[in-house]
Amino acid sequence: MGRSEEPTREELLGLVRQAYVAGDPVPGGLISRMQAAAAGAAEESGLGLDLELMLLVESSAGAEAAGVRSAAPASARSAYTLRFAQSGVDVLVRVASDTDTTARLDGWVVPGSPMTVRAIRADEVRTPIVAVTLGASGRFELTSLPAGLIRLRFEPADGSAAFLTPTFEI
Amino acid sequence: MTTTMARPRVIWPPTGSAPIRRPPVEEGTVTRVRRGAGHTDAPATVWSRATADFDRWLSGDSAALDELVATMTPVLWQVARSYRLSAEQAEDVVQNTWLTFVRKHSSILDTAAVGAWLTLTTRREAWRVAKRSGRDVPVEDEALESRVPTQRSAESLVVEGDRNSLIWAAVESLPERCRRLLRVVAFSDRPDYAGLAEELQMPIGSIGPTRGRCLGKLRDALKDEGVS
Repeated sequence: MGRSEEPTREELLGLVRQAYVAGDPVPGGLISRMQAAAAGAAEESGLGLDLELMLLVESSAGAEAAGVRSAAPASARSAYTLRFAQSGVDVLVRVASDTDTTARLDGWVVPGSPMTVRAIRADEVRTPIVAVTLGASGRFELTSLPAGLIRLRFEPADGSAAFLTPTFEI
Repeated sequence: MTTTMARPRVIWPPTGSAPIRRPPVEEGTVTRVRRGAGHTDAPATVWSRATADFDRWLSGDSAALDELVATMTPVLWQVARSYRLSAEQAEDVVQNTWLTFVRKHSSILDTAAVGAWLTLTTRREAWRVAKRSGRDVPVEDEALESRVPTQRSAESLVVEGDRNSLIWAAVESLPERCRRLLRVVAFSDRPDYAGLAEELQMPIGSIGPTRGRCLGKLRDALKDEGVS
């Protein structure tokens, strides 16, 4: 072979992977059994086909803008609020520009409980962009969100069903 | 090199494996993709695929959970088996990881960390099970002496000329502590040294040097087998 260079650390670890993948392969059917187990668990927690979709019950654009006209910076004038509800959970969200191209979002979940809130891009990309946890106060804020269509996903820390808002523009 | 016609009962490689060509190690045969039989992709590919699957699942594509499970299960299997678990125990461990993932996924704020979260969860559970069955500590001397080739197990019988079997023989010749350490490191996303130190009952500061020595032994063993 006559190669003088010795294999690097990464190449050696690659050989270790190669040896074990071939020498101790995944048993037949394991992947489908795991898929069934995960799908069953998701179904049980209400994370199956249908996430709980929240309804938009209220939206206000003009009112707040009028109230903040002189003191607030120009960007704040485009603020508006949305209210979503489902299964006894209410979410109030205030959306405001934070720079020319980004927005901030202040939210309040009632009743408050430990959960994770994710902002998910809802255009063709459909990717979570940011996540925060919130506690019993139910308050959260998401800043520097890129302008565009998003949805919010609320995941209770106790593993119960997640809620998803309809798409809205920021 | 012998002809393949005269092969005895082939235990190694598993039937159906494609014959492996013999380019130099440096040229990356290491990361050839063979999905389905457990893949040996460059780890970065696996982790980013897992993140993409998780992202799609969170965005409401319920089929993406299946894809995430397909992407990560072969890796988790390898991680669990590093702890000398039986096939049945390893399967239980991997299944537990998936159930925990579905229940606790809200705690993974950064979706890029999903691969690391899954491998770490598997390691913790595998170690717990191994401890319970008295298999926790690799029974190896501190000197990390290599085993002599005559101690090879039956499964690792070398079929002349098969590169995979030579690599296997080299890996198998390493001390058990080395095999455990290298296997966990090879299949984990950013393995934490503190956890490894606890599992291997070594001071945390010696994990790095030990890994270096183990890689050195592997390099020598490969040379002995004529692989590199």
